[in-house]
Amino acid sequence: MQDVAEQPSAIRWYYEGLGQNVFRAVSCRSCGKLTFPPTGCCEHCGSWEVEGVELSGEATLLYATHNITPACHPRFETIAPYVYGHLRLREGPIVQAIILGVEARPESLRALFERGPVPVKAETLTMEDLPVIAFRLAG
Amino acid sequence: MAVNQAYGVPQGYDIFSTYNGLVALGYCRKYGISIEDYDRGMFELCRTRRLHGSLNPKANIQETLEDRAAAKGFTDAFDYWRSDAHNPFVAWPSRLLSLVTTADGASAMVLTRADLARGGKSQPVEFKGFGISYSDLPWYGEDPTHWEFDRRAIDAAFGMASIGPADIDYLHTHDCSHISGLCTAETIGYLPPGGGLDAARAGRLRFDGDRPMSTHGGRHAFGHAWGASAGSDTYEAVLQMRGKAGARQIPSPPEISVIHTHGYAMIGTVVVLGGL
Repeated sequence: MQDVAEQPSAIRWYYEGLGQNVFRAVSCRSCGKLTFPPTGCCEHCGSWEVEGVELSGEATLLYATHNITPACHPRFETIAPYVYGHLRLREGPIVQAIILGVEARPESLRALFERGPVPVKAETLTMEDLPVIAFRLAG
Repeated sequence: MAVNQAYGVPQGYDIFSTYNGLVALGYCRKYGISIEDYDRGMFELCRTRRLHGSLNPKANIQETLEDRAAAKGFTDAFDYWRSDAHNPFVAWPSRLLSLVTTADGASAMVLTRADLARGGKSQPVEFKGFGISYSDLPWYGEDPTHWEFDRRAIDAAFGMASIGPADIDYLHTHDCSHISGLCTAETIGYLPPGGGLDAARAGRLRFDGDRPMSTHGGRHAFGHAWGASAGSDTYEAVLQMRGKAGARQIPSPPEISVIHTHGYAMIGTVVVLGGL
């Protein structure tokens, strides 16, 4: 096994991809599962034998709510209130992220809930100091 | 997905109330509960929490929901509950009064050997079992009502204590959101799956109901002082088991109590107490 200290940073690699609208995970050679967002070892079995993979960015939005108080980092104040969703990536992992394309109002969220699961597509939210992953309602 | 320095705060995953809005939606879809029935159930659960708080001199909120509504000019407390001005959606369909009340506080517990505990000034309670399990975000998989790390902590504690759900006389679950506290009670088996809201509406979760929960007022009325809360939750269970909970005393003091708590991001801990 490669010395852990010599492994390239999965985190840097993820953020570099995110800045270019490319969405990355790591795949485990031991158990075959994906870790997203990527870390140096597999979050399922703990193996360090992982390799980078590119994701399709396609997902299914399962549930969406909103927040009248944004996440704690000040960068999120500029977009609050926003919609936040529970998603299943096409490749399998369950993810939570900002949702674009629906208003952060109870009426809009209710209409979305009544539609049931809907397709979404990942895109990079360009914020002042850091790219942030988001998903937009398809169509 | 990890709550860590690389992704947790930078990517904005750190929004507690929102996670519970998602749990609420998962609960409604899974059990076919309308948003209106969910809202009514949350109202009833809040009534119970604040009733318990009104009976506890140490609670942060000692005003019942009905008194609060009347003070704001409402003759129907449910109208107050549904008022966006007083009780807005913080993470649709979860409202402000379905959530935690932050507090300052401290707690401590004394543990000793069983042979030393007997004959003391206070009636001893046995620490019969515990379980602890960890997770990262998301705290749940495709089904927001099932938290696997809680399941593991519950199984470990119950196995150590040799108890099952039917043995529980008093249950505290981590209820910094009303819906997640109910989901945990259903996972434990104290309430039937999908039956938590009906139990709240029927008054079964009150101190004088047949499924008493969070009799100190819970995270909403008693308040939540984070690390200190597990101690105060345990203290409440011990008071109940000793028959010293005052106005909110469970009529038949519990013999087996279970205390479930969460540490943030995310640790599930379950403790089983019994008579010595």
